[in-house]
Amino acid sequence: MVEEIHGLRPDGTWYGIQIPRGYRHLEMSWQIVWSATTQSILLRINGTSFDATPDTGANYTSQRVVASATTITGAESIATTTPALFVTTGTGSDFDFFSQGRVLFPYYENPNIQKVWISDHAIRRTNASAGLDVSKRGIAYLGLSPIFSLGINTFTAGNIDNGSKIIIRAFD
Amino acid sequence: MTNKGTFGGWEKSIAAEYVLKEQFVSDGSGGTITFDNIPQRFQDIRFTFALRSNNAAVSDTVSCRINDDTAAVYSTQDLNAQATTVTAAENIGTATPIMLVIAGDTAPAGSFAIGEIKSPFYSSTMGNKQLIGSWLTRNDTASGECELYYRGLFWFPTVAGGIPREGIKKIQLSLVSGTGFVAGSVITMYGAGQLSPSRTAS
Repeated sequence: MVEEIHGLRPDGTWYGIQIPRGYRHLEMSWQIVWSATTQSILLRINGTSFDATPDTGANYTSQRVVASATTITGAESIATTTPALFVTTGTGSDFDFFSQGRVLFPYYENPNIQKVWISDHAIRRTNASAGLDVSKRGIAYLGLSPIFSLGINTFTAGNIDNGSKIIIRAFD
Repeated sequence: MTNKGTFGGWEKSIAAEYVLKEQFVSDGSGGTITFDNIPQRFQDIRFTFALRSNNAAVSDTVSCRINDDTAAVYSTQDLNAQATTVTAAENIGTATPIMLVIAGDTAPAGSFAIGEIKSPFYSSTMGNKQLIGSWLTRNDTASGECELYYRGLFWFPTVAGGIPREGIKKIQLSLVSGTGFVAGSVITMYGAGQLSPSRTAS
C-alpha cells in the first residue's frame, strides 16, 4: 500500500494522515523544503480523525545523533509533547536543498509493545563545510496503543515549498 | 499460504515461498532464535524486531553466530548515543560478537528494543558478510537511559585462500544473560531483490 502526499498544510494546525490497518510495518519517506528559517517537523500519532490533534501528552521520548563536518553530537528529549522527526532546510538554503529521509515504524499495530520509530535523515543547508548533516533518530511512544494515524506539524507556521512530498508505505 | 510450527518455545511461521518471510514470536521460554536454511536466491535480507529479555537487569545483550561458525572470525563496530554522549566502540576478531543490546526485565514496562538489521548481498559467494543494525532501547525513564544504537557486524570466515565462498545460510541470535525473550518479542526476516534463476549470486 502506497500513499503519496503533496501540499502539506503548515499553517499551525495538524495535518492528519489516517494510515492503513492490517499491515505489520509502516515506512515513510520525505523530501521537504521550508520557506522560512530552518524548521523542525513534528510527528505525533493517533489523532482521532483527519486534522484532529494527535496525542498531545508528554508521551514521546527521543534520542538522536547528528554528524556535521567533523563534529558528532547526541541529544535526547525525555517525555516530551513535541517530538521532532526531522529538521528541514529553510530560506537560507540554496535552491532545491530538500531535506530527505526515511522513517520505519516496526509492528505499528502491535498492542504488546511501546512503539518506536527509527529514522535516517540528511539535510544540506549550504555547500560550505558544516553545511551538511546526517542524522539518525529514534523516538519511543510511551504507550501500547496501535498507531492508527500520523499527525504532521511544524513548530511555527510558514510554507512548505513546491516539490515537497511524503510517501507512506505499509507492508507485510 | 503459511506454515506454522514451534521452535524452542517460539511460534514460527513461514510465508509463501516466493516471498521470503520467516517470523518468530516468543512465548517467553526461548533464549535463542535460529533462522536456518536461509534461501540463497535473494540479494538482501532484512530483519525487523521488537525484543526484550527476561534478564533481571535493565538490559541484556544478544550474541550472533553465522553458519555455525564458532571461530574468532567476527568483528563489530558500534555507535551509541545516550543523551549528549556519543561513543564508538569496536570488538575485533571475536568468536562471540554482540549484535544487539536489548531491554531487560527491569526496563520500563512495555519497552522493547525495536529496530531493523540489514544484510546486503548476504548470499554472495564472494567476500565478507555484514549485518548492519539500528535500534532504540530504553533502560529507564531518566535522562541518558534511552539509547540509540548503530552497529555493524562483520563475518570473515577463514577458508582456503582466505576468501569466504559462502553466503549466510544460518543466523543464530542468543541471549547472553537471560534465559528467554519475554512473551510478545518478535523478529521477522524478509528477502529482498529476488535474483533471476539465470544469474548466480556473486
